[in-house]
Amino acid sequence: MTPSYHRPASVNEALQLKAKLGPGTVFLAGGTEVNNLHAPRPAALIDLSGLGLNKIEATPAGLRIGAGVTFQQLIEYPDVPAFIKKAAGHMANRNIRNCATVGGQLGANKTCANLIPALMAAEARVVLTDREVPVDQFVAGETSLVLAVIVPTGNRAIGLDHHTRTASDISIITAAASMTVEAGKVRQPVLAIGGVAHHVVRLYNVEKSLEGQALPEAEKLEAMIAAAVQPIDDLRGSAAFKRQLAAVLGARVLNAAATGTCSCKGVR
Amino acid sequence: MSISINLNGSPFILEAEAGENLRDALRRAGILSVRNGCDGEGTCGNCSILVDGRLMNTCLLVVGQVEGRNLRTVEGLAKPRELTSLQTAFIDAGIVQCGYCTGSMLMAAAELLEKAECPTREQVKDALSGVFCRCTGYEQVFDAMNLAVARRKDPATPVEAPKFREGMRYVGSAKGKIDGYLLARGESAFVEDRVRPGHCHLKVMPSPHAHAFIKSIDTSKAEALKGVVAVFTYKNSPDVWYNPAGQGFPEPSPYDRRMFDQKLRHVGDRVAAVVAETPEIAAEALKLIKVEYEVLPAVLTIDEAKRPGAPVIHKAKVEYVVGAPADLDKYNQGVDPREGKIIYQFPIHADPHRNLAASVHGGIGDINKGFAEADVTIERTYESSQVQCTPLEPHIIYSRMEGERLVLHASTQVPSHVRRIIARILSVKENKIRVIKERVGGGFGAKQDMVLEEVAAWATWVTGRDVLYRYTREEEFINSRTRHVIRVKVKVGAKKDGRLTAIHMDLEANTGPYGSHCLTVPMNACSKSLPLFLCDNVRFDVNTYYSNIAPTGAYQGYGAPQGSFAMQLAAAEMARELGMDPLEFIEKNRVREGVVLEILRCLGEGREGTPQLVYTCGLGPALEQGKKMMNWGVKAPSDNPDVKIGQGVVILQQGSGLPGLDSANAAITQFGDGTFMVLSGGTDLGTGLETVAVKLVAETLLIPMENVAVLAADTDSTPFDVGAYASSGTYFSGGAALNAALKMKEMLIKEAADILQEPENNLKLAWPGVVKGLSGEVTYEQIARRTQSGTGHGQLISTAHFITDKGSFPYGAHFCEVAVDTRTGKVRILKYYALQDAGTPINPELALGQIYGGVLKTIGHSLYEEMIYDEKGNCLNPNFVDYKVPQMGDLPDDFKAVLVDTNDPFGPMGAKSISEIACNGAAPVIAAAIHDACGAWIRSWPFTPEKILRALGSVK
Repeated sequence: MTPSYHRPASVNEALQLKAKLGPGTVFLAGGTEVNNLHAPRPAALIDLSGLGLNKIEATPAGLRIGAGVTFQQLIEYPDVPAFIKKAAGHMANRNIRNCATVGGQLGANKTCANLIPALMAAEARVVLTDREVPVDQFVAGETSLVLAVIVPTGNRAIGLDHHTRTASDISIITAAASMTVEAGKVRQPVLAIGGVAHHVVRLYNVEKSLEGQALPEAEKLEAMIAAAVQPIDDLRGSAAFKRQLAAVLGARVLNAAATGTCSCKGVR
Repeated sequence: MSISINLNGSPFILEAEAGENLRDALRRAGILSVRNGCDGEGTCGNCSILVDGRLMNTCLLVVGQVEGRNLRTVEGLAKPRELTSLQTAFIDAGIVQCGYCTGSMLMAAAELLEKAECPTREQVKDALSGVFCRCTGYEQVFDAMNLAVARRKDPATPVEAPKFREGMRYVGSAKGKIDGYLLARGESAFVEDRVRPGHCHLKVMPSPHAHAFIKSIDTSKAEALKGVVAVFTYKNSPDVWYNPAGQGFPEPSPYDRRMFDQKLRHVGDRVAAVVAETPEIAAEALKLIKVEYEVLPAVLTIDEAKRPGAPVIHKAKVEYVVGAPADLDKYNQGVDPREGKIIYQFPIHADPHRNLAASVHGGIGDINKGFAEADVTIERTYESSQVQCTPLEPHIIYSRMEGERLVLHASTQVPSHVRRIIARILSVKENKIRVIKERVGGGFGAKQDMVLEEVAAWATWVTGRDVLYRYTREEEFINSRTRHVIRVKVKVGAKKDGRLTAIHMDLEANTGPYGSHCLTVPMNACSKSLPLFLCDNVRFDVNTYYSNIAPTGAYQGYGAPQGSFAMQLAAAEMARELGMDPLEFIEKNRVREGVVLEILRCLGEGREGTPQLVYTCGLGPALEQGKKMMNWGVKAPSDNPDVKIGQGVVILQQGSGLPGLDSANAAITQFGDGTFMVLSGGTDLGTGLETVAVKLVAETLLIPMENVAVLAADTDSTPFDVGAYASSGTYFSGGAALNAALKMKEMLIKEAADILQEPENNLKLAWPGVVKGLSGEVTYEQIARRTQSGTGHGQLISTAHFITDKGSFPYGAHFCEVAVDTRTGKVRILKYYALQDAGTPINPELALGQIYGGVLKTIGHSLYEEMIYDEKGNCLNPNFVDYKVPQMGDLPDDFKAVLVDTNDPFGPMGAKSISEIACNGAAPVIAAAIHDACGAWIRSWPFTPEKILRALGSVK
């Protein structure tokens, strides 16, 4: 069956439509997930393109990126931080980046998401219709409509990496990290890894054990990360392989964040 | 609903539901260029258009999303009958091959050129990163973009392409591709563009089991559904056994299948087919068919298939047309009638009751003596994965009746074989069937087999209705053709100085459920890899087994990529074992001009072969030039201690068709104004074969190319040709066109002699289309007017054929440099140089394109591609999300194809083949370079990061 199509003009109208149309109704942003003909077909589509969510604005809390902003717009918009551009560039290919949106990525909340680890490392906040939540909290359980993300401005280096089989592949493992180094000691580190759980996760225990310490050698870091992740075997590789990738990429992004060798400036 | 858009600059009303898929709605509105390669997954990008100036997959949009927006498609790039400079640049640079993705590539390029004055390589890669092309290898897109940029300033800027054969006007020079124009405009060209209103749709119910009998089947409910035209099962389909492999008759492939069979031999095998008024009704009807299965254990691997007591895939009654063994009756005792039959045209040393589909053994010299003489002996095992051809246009057929005759619009490499095999299945004469080969959206060997044509043909023949049958991408993976899974144990002996003393290739192949090419593909793995090394003592053993994986068959290279992987990598391993530079080892042992290849005597295709003298061999200059380009032995520095750099080199060969087996025919007719039409049996798959025919005729008759039209691969109008396989196109089909031109030349001279009243040996052809004598000259037009007049001798029509017993082997050397991240296992190809000898490259720009395409495809096979199964025989990754193919972002950083000049004495105007050989280098050369980088020998495809990490010990 062809789904019914609705294009509300306001957020309220969108929410009312969702409630009214009932099960099988989905919000439609760029369409790369929802319109995929290999995915289950929805009964009704609520196109969010009429809600004016495609703006990028500087606000006192940081850069506010509308949920309808596409990945390619992130790359082209001059004031978007380099690490966000880089993460957006890891998304499949140009055709997809021209459609896929920031809100769509959060809504789909897949473990292979390329932008989410970077947003986590930047300690971005997700703007919902009634409140704001940190990205890690959103990813861990929210399903409500996303209006925007706010990326705090700052000068911490963000380390970013990802592993794919081909250039257009979805990411098997993603990693992002940020920290402040004061007198040789790590402060408030963030380490986000994708591909090792149902969605992208922050390794809070690893972060905790790094706090206040000098950044350990790569080998030690890898062992800490390997012990903290539980990937599964699937078509893209064994759990052991993915653990190795998570450990190596995780250690690399931590090092990049610590030494500022990554040119991507982010939070704080 | 009526939805307003702006389409190609004009207001347009799309009649569609707002929630409908945009690609479907545009196709229905007559926009044909939105092609479908992934069934709406958004992974192939072949349906791309510009929406408000940005490239998007129309399959991932619904109509409502584009209301009021500006849509641009390739149809709107240029004014009718014109081309933009971007389109001509694409044609001239050789980047238009099959043309299925061309529209999308052009729109991606158009978007970029609107935004960037002089795009960089990285910008071009990014702009086209979402458009999947399997033919071209993308590299010439950069040439096309540079050309388009230059032509903005100077429209007359010529293409930079290598040129061969000074003194020739067309042969050896880039002159465009004659079907490039319609493909670059996105015009109607493919089978899917030929459908007529009111046609029916055919859908097949796939077997859910890898190995099973149908215990009962009830189609009554499906038949009763309104809109269902017919339902077919094994009960109401022809009881004819055949093999769908398009090979010369009598084929070495066993006749081991029926259109529908009571036994099912792989997941996806045909259970039943429904012909219905709409695809939705056909799908609904399939759900109404009730089937009970007797499920049998599945056999998936070579080891499972050869195990004593293994489940038997074909416990069938065996028949031989010739050469039946004396104990055949005993062999057939106790077979289950549900198992059906196997008919062998001649013995291929099979034993199907223990899953042996074919075998062959042979050699030269004394292998034991050879190994005894060796100072060093190594034995290694190499394995290939099952990789799919993935033409962007999946298999498709449109069949219809015209009076009492059946017309098939086909996307095939073998129209004449399709006609012959279908005539036999339908029990009709060949003259009742017309096969029209349309533009083919990628073949690569998969379309050398008839994989769905016969079902639609039968449906039309029975119902009288037009029938469209098109594979989904999933069906293309599990029901079409793939590379045989091959395991080769190679034992090599050498003296300390590097001279080879003995080679033994012990090869086992997995042919899957049916025996398409089950003898010849594995055999070719030996016959295209053993003759590269001069060694007195050689043995090969080939055993092919049936199993329940998806069907295998022909795939560009035809076994040679797997054989070459084993033999070339074994050579590289031996060189390391001896402490020798691999290049020096190759030089010491390689084939060269003037040698006779005795080994070929025992490598015929199911019959005795012929030893061949190597007349031309470009290996010397290829290796020399490659060594310099590569800066051999001097690796690029690595700026990361985890990343190691390595180099590799391999040599390769293929054939130019099958001497003694292949045959091609052509005819040339003269028109009243002195121009010509060449009627070629050859099958152009986007490779430029029709352009080859036109060039050879124009060059011979000394006339402009515009004065030669071409019609090819329409079995009613063009003469017999075996089709496009075994790298035979230029050599055989081109050879036939050349021979027809030479005959036309004689005819023109004879007529001119009559007009000028001069002896024939005074006369010669001269540019542009005259016959000159001592007394004067006569134009071709004058000859045509006279011969076609009421008092003439009749229209000049020449016919000719081409056969040969000579094997003009193309040779090549591939060099590569890789960077291996030893902590993640990721391999990046820094340099890939492919130097190949194609004799005279008749279309040099297209020859280069075939090299780039063959190399990139096989880089995919080496690094990324494999069909993965569960234990029940279900393929788990029949789509482009999970089966990863290389795209533009995966190009080697520095990628160069080079044509090494040789001039073959037998091929048309010195030509040898080009197509397949390029597929033989990537696997061994990348594996050798990976070893050189990090010390790990990876001996099975694909060389995944995980395998590399396991070999390095960092993943246990």
